[in-house]
Amino acid sequence: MALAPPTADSLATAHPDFPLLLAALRHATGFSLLLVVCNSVGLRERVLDFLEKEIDRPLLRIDLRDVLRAPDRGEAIDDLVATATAQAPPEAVLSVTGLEAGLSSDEDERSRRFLQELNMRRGGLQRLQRPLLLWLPEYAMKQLARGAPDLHDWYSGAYSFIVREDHLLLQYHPLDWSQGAPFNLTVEEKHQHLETLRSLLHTAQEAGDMLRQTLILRDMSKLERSLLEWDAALEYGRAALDLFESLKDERGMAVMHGEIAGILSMLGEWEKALLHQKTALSLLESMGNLHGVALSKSNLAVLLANTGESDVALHILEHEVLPVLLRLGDKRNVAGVYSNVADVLLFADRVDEALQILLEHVIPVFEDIQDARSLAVAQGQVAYILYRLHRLDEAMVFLRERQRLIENLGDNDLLAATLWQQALIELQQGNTEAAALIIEIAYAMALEIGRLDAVAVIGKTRGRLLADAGKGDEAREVLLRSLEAFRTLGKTEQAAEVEREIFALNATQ
Amino acid sequence: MTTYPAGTVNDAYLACNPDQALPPDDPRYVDLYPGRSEKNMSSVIAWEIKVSGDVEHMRKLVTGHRGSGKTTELLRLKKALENDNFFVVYVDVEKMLDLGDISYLDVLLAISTALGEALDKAGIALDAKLLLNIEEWFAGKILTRVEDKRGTATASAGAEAGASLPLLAKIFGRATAEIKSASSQRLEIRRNLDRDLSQFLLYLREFTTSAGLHLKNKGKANLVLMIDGLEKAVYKENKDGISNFHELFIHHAEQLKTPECHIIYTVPLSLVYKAQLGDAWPGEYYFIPMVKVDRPEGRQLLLQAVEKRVAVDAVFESRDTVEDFITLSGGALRDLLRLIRMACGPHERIEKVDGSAAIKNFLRQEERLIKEEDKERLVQVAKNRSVPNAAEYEELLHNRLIHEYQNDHRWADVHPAVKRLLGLELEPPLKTV
Repeated sequence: MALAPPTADSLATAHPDFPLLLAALRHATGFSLLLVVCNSVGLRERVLDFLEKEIDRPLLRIDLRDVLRAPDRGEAIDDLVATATAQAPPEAVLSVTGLEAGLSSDEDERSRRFLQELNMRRGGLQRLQRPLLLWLPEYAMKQLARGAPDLHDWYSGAYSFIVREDHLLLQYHPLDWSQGAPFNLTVEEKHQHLETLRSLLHTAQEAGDMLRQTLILRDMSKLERSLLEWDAALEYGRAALDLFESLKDERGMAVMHGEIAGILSMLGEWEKALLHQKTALSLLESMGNLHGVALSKSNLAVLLANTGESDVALHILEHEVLPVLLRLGDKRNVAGVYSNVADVLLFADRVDEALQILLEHVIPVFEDIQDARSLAVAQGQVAYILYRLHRLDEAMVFLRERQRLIENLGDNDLLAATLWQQALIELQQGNTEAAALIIEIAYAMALEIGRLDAVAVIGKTRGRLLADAGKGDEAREVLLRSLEAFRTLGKTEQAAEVEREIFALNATQ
Repeated sequence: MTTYPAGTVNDAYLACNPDQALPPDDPRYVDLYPGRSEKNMSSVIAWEIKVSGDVEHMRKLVTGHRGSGKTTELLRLKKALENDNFFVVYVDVEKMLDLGDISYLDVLLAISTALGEALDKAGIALDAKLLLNIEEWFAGKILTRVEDKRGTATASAGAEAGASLPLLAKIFGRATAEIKSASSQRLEIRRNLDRDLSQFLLYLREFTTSAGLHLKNKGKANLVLMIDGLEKAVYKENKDGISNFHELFIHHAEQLKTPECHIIYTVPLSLVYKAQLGDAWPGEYYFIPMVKVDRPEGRQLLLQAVEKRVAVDAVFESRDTVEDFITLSGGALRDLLRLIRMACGPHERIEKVDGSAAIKNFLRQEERLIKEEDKERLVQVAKNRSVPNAAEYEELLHNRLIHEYQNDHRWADVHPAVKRLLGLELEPPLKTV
């Protein structure tokens, strides 16, 4: 793969605030409070490395994480910084990290006291008479802005270095692909089944048994889909569809159009996916299959939400799908559709409503009907929302419960996703070591299961963590694999992000 | 040594410091009061103190938004009064006390400490007998630990020779430091002061009276105390829902008026909505409103404030960038200076692209202050141009999501940056030139 040569400019290209921060540090003398939001330790360290190279003055890195975690640290925050700074030359820039260790995500009494301290001891920080970079994750920066308003009001610059993560988390949504047994198998088992089916297909072709050929092709498509082998899945799927059409099996045709729509949506080909889903819908309508129509409309709504039509999607779900399923008394699918409603609301950034729906209409139903797998999926959605709301401790509670359910089910695929979510939370809370450990297991599972999207998404995080730990070669290998996976999946934006990570990694080595 | 106005981007960065109150003679100062539609605070209060003579001791409250220039104005007032021969003691409460947990007793003790130190520094000797009495009382009833009392015997011996002021200041200082450090002694000192409150208030009255008299003997016009920073105390409510500010400035207003001299306190903006404040502190508080950026005069003055710091045509590629900054500042000089700093990018001059980047980053930071549940309240404030007298709005004022202005009456509006973020309509931009 051709990578751009390592240059300092790659960071500036990826992060437009970099030259602004660099300029501020070149200009600043005396006290100057520079607030930096960053959600990646690796990115932060790379930014600091570049700053150190580019500014003609020393840069002192002060990590207060451990000392702020201690129950009784004795020294006030400004004294801690002053002590750490004592030996530094007067022109040195101070970079302070780890403040979030004093700020828990649920804004408890300890956080409140720490914010008060920051606010009141700001004079001590000012008296150091040096440019001061405060690095914080987004949730902690919000707390600082609101809870230490006098310190915040002194800021001379605000910068942001963000590696986008949230949309990746959403993408890892098990509901889309949970409707079939193949997904629960190991890669080896899936390949074994494929081999058997190929052999059976050959036999069926020889026997001229069209129906069996069709059903075998349908199953092969599902298996290939579970392996994220999209081309093969499409090829088998289309072959099955052709045969269903020859057989004039409308129900089979509707199912295959729905399957193909699902595959195309995973490839980001929303328009084509919509066409197939609409065909499936019209077939079901013509058959007068009310239940099938409702479920097909539900899938259609999710596709529409993905193409930016959240309002239309919500209207369909609320007015055309839910009333039918409620009337039919299909409790399980009502809950499933509510779960889709939550997803559509998330697309529209209506996070609180999505959370309320999951807690009121989805989780209690799955608990009631003892559908452990669907419950685990819904718990993952709730955890994701809580993660977005920075209610990290609560999110972790859901994920632990989810993990317990999944371990009982023996579903390694869902387990990988759960572990990955847990690792993200550990990262947000600054527990890098724990995160690295968990993500290593999740990544190994993703490889074993053969989910390309998991290899891409989890690999991206794992690569960054390896880079942070100074394991450059290993990091590069994982990131390149992630890049390749994103490209194969047609996720160009995410691929570009990983590519930037690799550039930056190369540049600092 | 920086010279103003700055001619380069680098010097412009240094000239526009948002965390710095200007010293009284700083060349960057611009009288923004015409743009605020308010009289100049330092001139008004200085005049009131001067004309009050010895008939009345002025007790004034000063309020305004964070960064509205209260400290700059107080330092100018101090200078003006000193020029008129007043002895002014400026008390930075933030440096002396724990603003997370403050009582009126702490404030009075801090005043005693600061006054003792200032008198000592100026070489003013007070009545030896009074000092001896205060020392004995303080050592005997208030300080209970042996190490805190250390030195008082020497002080007593020295008092006969009229040399005990430095030691008294030291003892007061020790108690103030105990209170600030939140040691176990804090509660005990407060409890002792409270138990012997009448004695404490009487001594404080005598101490300030004696100081005033000795200062006059030395040719000074009078004693003025400025207590700055109290408005920065952390907002708290007790179990009855009464805020600590209410407790301090309304319940204990009489105690805060104990010092027998002119005295000025800064108070939080939210407190002036309380009807009881007027009862406790008759006479008007002094409010420093924001500069009105929807009026040519206000914009012109803010531009002047920029031009005192920065040679606009040399540093900015386009004056439009400054105009945009003025609009977005909502009349808060601190925000205007911050925007300029944030625009000091990598180029030779501040280009339009630097201005846009600064605005983008400024808006992003402002967004972090807005809570979901406050959005509708902010929309209502923008619509009605006033702030309801309700607790939920105190934090919005405190965090400067709402600005207050003055015409013939006070009115309010949502910070322009917040308006932009909420998709509310901004007034059509005016040009200053």
